[in-house]
Amino acid sequence: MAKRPPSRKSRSRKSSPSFLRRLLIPVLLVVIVVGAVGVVLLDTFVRSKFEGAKWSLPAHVYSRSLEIFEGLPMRPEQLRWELDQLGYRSVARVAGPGQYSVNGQRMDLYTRPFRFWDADEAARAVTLTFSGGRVNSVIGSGRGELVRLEPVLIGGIYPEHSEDRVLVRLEDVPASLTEGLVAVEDRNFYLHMGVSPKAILRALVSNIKAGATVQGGSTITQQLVKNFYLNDDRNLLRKGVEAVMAVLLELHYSKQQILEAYLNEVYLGQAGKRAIHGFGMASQHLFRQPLRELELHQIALMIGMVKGASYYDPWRNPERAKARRNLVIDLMAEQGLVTQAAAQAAKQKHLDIASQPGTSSNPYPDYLQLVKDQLAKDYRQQDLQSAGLRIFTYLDPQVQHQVQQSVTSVLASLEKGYKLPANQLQAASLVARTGTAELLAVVGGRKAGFVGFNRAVDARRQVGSTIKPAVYLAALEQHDRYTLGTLIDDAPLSIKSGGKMWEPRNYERESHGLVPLYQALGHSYNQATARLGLDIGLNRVADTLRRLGYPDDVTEVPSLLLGAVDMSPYQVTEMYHTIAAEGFYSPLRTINAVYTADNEPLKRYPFATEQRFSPEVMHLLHYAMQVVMREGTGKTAYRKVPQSVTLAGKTGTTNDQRDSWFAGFADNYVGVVWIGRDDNGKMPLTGGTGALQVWSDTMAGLNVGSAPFMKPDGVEYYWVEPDNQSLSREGCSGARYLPYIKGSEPQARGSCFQQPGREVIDWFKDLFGSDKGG
Amino acid sequence: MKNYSTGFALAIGLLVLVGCAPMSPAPTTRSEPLPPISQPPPEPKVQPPAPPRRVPGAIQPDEVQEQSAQSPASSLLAQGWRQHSGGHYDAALGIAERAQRIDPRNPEVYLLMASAQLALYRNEVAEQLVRRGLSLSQSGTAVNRQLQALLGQITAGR
Repeated sequence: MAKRPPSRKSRSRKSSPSFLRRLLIPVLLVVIVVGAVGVVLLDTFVRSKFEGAKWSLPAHVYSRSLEIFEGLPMRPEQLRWELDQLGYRSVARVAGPGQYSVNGQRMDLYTRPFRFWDADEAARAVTLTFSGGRVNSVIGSGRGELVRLEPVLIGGIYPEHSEDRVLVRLEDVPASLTEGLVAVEDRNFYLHMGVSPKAILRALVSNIKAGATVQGGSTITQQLVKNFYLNDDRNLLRKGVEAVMAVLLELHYSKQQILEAYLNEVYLGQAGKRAIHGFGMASQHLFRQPLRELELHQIALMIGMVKGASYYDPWRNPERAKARRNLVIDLMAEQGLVTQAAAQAAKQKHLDIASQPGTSSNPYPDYLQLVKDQLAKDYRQQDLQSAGLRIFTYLDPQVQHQVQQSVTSVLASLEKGYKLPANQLQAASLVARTGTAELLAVVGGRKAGFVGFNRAVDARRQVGSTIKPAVYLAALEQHDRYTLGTLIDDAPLSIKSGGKMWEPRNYERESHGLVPLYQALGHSYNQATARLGLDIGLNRVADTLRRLGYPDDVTEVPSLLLGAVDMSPYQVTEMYHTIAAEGFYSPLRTINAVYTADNEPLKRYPFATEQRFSPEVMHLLHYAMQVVMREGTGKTAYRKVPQSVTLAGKTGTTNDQRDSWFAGFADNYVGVVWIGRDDNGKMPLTGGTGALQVWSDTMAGLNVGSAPFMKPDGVEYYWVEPDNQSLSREGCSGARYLPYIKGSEPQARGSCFQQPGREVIDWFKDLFGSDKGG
Repeated sequence: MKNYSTGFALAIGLLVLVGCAPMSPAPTTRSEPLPPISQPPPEPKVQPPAPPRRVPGAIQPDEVQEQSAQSPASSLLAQGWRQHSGGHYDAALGIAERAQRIDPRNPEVYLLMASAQLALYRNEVAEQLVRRGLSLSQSGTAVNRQLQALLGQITAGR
């Protein structure tokens, strides 16, 4: 019997398995090829990112470094404040860097090592003694040497993703940190190839038993891949890719390289908009200390936070954070990394974190704005946000703190005293170092740390009588016509200006007749100043303003003489710095130097100056500005500052008292204060009752010494009778000791000068009675 | 310290001696004619008086004080000059600025700054620094002479 051909049904039954078999191989081939291509692409991706610049590092901005030396004006509590800003710990007995102990007027201090822009400074142990508001001795530093503290980190310029980190090298990380991290997060780290099936199984068993996810099976390598390359998505495909990438990472790089990257990548907290990444930055954020200074309980806290930085946030969830920390300590003791005794001691300790995060995003926004404006001229935004630049500025945290305190407290006090609504008044203040033009402090508003309108730099307000020193300076430069004793008429005047009559009047509506020039400035007489300025010429006054440093156009109208010109407090500070520096102009500076992340120098901003006025003329102007403080509109400064301190300055009040100004100098500081209302409304304050109070509070808080007042060779002092411009003698009624540029002194001899016997008395005084230095 | 009583006694003594001295006879004849009395002789220029006693609150110039040889700025300046000698002018400038921060009125600071800037061929900057140093230095001092010499060097090079 012949075989029947197979039916279609039986034919199809027999062909399905062979079809699938035939299909399987090509499909497998495709999968293998696609997989291989995928792996190659992943491999390229893994290597290119790991070997390139791994992170966009923000630029970090530092304050000035405090240099401590014998004679430095500083009280112990001021130094303690600075040390607290730097995270130094007050201890009973100093044992290592970052510690200090205080015993009355004596302080033992162990400084930290720091890579400055000009040198690497090692840690040093010194003993300081204080006396009379100054550092009396510095023992342990060598005669005449300095002790330099590291600068305070005051802010940064962050990348768009707002991650902040300080890179650390593995060899600089305490061994207890790396060992503890491995023990807690991935105990088989040194044995696996990126993925640990044992860990996965263990985690699976634990989670099934608990009925929830209580343990992760990811290795440190996988965690690094997730954070560095991928995202938080939890799906099978992503986990698969993560596993492949972890193996690839392990194939190409050593365990040390992977661990170092992990130490710098891991997320460990939030500071406002800034994400804290890496243990280097976390150490500053949590403890205000560098990693190398941390103790076991602090290291354990950070390791514990790896599992969930927000969940274990020690400020928000202290109990939870402490429990987690102690669990980590137990694990470390279990694995023999620490002794039981050390573990027990560490578990007893408090969390020991800083009272507030040590890396507040921006505690000095007004100063930082100036720094950024300067940097934008020299660097691209991209470089500032990603290259990890180190920017060293002149900000003095002590001065900044004092200025802010003075602004806040005096404004509140003024509002209360004058029964004004709370927070109606606003203020701006700047302090620069005389002679160096370094900006030490910038306050752009009454609320500390507030990021908003920076009145110190961006407000433009009429300056009122603070312009008068420029008018008198222009006059004194014509020393053949004007001396400090020249009599000016303080009578009312009216002149036509711009189609209208300009009729300046004195503040108290009184006229004073003929007054000597120094008195007209000292008491801020508008009428006398207007006459003087018109006689000199508006163009000369405008030229003087420009030479003082005012950069904008000046409209040459008579009202300019009384300050009808808009300036920012910053511009006024620059002008008054020229005055304080005896006629030498220097642009105000915020940045000292910019260095790379590896401390290679990029740019310095060296000091430069230009002589624009003679020292002789400036000496006369300084005299008149001291008259302002001793006898005139500035004398209430001496309610806060000791009488023995020489101050010089000028008050300023605008029409309707919409602006209250004071600009002045003492010791090595030039300070400017403006008070006003943002809506330009009227106030019951003058320059003397308003801004001067903030200024003098600041100077008193800084414990300033006298403004220097050396007589130049081209100046001589004479006793004169101011009322009639004639020579007089010491002891004559009404005689005043005035400076004159040589050759400009009065020639006429007053009646007292010519009294019989006066010459003989003076001869005896000169021979036997005058003080000789001291 | 003023001591008027001793001086006054001395003066009285001198007057007594002068009073006891024999007086020379007045001339009886004139050998030369007297000048015509048409203009009074010019008054001698008034010399500046000695500085008065220092009174708190009075506005008077500071007394001249000598620069301390062992100030913290001095040790920095010594460091700065060593850098300058080694040709590291930028480093010298950085150190000079540290010294300036501590002692901004020390003319030695500006001498170092100006020398370093001059070595970097920044003559105009150097000149102004010299002028600043001169304004702070006393005539006749060593640093004043050095600054004057440096200024001469700069202006001669124009």
